[in-house]
Amino acid sequence: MPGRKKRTGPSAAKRNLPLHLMLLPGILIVFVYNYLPMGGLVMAFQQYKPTRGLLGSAWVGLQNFRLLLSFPNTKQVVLNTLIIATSKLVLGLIVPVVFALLLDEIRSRRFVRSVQTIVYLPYFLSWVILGGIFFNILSPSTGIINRILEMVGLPTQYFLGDNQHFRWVLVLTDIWKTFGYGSIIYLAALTSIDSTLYEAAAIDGANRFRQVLVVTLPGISSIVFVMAVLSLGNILNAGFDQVLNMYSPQVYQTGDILDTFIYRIGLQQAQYSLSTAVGFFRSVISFLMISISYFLAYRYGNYRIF
Amino acid sequence: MFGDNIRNVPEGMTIENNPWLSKFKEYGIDVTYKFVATNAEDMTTKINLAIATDDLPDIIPVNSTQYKDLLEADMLADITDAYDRYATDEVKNLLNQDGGLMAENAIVDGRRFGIVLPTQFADYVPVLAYRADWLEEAGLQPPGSMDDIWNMAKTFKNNKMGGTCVIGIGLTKNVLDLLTPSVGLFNALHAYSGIWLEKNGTLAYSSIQPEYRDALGMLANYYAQGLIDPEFGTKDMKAMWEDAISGRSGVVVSHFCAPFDVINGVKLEQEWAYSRMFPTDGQPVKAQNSAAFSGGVVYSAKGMNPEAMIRMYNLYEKFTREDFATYNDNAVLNFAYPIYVGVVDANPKIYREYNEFITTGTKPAKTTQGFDGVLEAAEKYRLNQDIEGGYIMYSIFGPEGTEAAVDYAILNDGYMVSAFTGATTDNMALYGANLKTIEEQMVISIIKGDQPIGSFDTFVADWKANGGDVLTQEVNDWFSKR
Repeated sequence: MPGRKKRTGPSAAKRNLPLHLMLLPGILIVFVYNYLPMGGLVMAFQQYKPTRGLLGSAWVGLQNFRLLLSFPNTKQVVLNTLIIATSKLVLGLIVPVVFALLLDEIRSRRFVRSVQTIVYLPYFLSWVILGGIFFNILSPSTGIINRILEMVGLPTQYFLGDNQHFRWVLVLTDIWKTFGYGSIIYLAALTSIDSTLYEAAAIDGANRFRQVLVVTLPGISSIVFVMAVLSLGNILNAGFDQVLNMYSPQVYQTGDILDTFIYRIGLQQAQYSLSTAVGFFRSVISFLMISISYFLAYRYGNYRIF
Repeated sequence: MFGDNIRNVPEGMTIENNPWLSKFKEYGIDVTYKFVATNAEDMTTKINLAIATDDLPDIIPVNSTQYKDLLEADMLADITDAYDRYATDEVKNLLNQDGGLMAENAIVDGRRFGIVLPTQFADYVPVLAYRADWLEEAGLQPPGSMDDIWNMAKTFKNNKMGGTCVIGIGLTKNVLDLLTPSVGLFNALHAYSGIWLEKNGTLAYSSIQPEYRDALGMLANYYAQGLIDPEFGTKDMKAMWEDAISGRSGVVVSHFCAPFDVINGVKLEQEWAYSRMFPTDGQPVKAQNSAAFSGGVVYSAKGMNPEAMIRMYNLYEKFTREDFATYNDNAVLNFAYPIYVGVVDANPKIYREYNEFITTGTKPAKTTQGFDGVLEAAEKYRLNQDIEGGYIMYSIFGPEGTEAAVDYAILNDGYMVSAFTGATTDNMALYGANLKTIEEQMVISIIKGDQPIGSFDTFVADWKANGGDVLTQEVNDWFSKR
């Protein structure tokens, strides 16, 4: 390009050297903690013995994967994971958006702030604590929920012990815990909508509901879309902490997910190869989902990471 | 390992500063815990991680799988010389109480690679605990048969005894674990879960036998009659006992430790009694046990002082014997873990000695280690009704205590010991978790009536197809080589 001084190699590198150095620790950490452990994936193709190490263990090819597929529970576990994770994804998207829209309609700033604080709180409680609390609240004989059902004349339900209810309990309690936190980003997006648009809509005769449809929703649609596609990467992440603290053998049928499955056969029985095979399988699916979602976000949501 | 006792560490003691560590230090052995765990499962996980990261402590409590892996990888120290030279005769005697049956598992080509505790299972029989005050109020006789037990549970529940009783008999969610009410009931119905039985000269898996099917059918029937807690699927042992102590149930299928929980009810002026489990027929109730090699304590090949470990065993034996009151307290004993070696079948022996003392009024000439401590505590309750000081010991070792059921089992062929006594094989570790999962699901769904009893046959087929046949072949190969 004429008129513009061409940057010479050494001086540019010199100028950027501090920046590169600042980047170095981050890269090193990612390399050590995210890339090096990938070498462990080789375990999935071995009969791994910790005492023999990665190099000394016998190579068995795809035997671990075959064994996994032969277990009668594997299909159900994958299905459970997909159903639970998908329900959480869908509701985890709708509920915070609706909540943010409703909250945005409220005039009193003080009320809005206190509601926000209250609904954020559960996000900071661990599932170990919540597991115990829900065990009590949902108990058929002593729990408050069933007392209320009784009072209005409905039959009591064994929420944590019934395969019909267990997934819903997982999904709803998870949504309850996270929707407040999840709504932060939408509330932020809502404040960035130009208020003159509402005035224009009002002059054109739109009522409140119509304004939400034609101004608010389009205004935050791109961020909703981006959040939706990004969460696709979690398609096989049904929430280990939560399930481990709330499930029991009687609801394995609908509640056992890949992570708890890995935990039981892997850590407790020291079957590292088998659990690595499950983990590998899970990662491949997640990778595909993330790739697709990134492509979609790039294409339609105008979202770029790189 | 610090079980629930981690919460009642005696005043002034800490993990860094306690009688055992001071005692070891006094004798020149400076001990620090590499890690502590709150239960056996947690300990297994932590040891597995330590093995995987090659970050082992010197003294390691291992299960049989870990033992085998470490041995194969030459990661265990040969402690033969240290053991021969340093171990006192008392310690050697304690470790060989079963005639060296279990210790054999730690000896390879004449060299010793670990300390294995002698096998003992006498205490592990089902014991019934029930509300004696309710029994009297309902005008019933103490149970003498299986039907009596269920009838008692039924009466308690139907009459809503105490205004609170709504549960017949409680179970726990881990239906297959040893010492749970479900396994106690299986055994009383002559069914056994997860052990190997000798049938016609070959070994067969107990969980696929017709007796198991029958037992599940009977429990399903009791469940359908409302006599089994419908919420058992989410309850652990603690929750089950809470039901009992809060008066929501009055019949508990437990084991010899029941008084440790019952005492909380006794403090609320409840009256409890204990009895053995009764069969449905004339056959004796046999308590199941897998006397398989379950592991031991080993010394890392990287460690420098295997003799220190042996000397710790010596000190352990010496001070639990000489200063029982200080060192044998359960909470204090935890600080010595994994160094531990007890007298095999000490409890039934102490039971007999204590009852001899009560009838004759004089202490037997020779008593078992621990007798004096039991005597002191139990007499507090027998003579002065001191609940806090002696209810537990008296209710275990007294004439109508839980050990009476143990004594009865010893005298009446009351044990069903697994015919497989070898170490866990690779395939058992590989298929075990999954086979246990499908068995748990089957048992719970049949008892609750979610599945008909016919689904037991599906389970048997599934079990065989998913590694069961491989295991059967494996244990039979082991059996024929013996």
